[in-house]
Amino acid sequence: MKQVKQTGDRWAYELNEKEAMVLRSLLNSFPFTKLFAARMSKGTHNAESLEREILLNNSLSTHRSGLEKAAKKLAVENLSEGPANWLLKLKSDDQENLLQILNDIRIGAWRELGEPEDTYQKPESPAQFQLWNLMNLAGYFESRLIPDES
Amino acid sequence: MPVAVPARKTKPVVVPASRSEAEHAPTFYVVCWNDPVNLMVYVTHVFMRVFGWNLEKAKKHMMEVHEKGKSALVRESAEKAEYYVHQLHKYKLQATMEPAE
Repeated sequence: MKQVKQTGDRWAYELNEKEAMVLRSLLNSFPFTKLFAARMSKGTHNAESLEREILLNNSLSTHRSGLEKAAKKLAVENLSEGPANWLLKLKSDDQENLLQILNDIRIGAWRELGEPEDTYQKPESPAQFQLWNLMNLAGYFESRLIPDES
Repeated sequence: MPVAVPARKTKPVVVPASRSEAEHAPTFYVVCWNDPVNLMVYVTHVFMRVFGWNLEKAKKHMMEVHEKGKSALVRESAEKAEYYVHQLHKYKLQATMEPAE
């Protein structure tokens, strides 16, 4: 997958067939993992911070439902087969949605793996290997998507 | 900022705004914590996007997270700090708001 065009806030990427099939499958099957509870504070735990945490988790749950819809749309409307390769056309908001979807997959898989310190270590069990693969596939697409800002 | 309040006499009475609420409202640091899974380019991108920072500032904070385990990104009112924590969590960064002294 490589960026082939950028005009203003629109990007176009070219993908080979394998990449396109994997990306489409990731988008169509999103979400893969449960939504883990988020913490609002490391230190303070009082009624106010608890209330904030409840709000945060409700907001993240709603946000994830929105991403689920966005994922289906991206798979159908933004990814298409071109004459030679596949094309992924994104506007700025689509790109942010896609990054959030991919990182939800990556972080979710990592957490279900038990939050390993060494993310390169291949797990032995098939179920864990599947999660490890998901984590890496999502990371691959993320790294290709992020505009070269440096 | 002074606030004008209606008075019975023609000349308005100007009273200073209460200093206690605005000046003594608690502030919070928005802190981003390190993890071994978020990609460095991704974290930099998210900081640029959420805070509108330039690449240099975003990278500096990303490196601080990476090397020191955390970075205090901004110091804000409770409401704004909460907003930023929500935004960072949407990108799956581990962010919290911690009371500033």
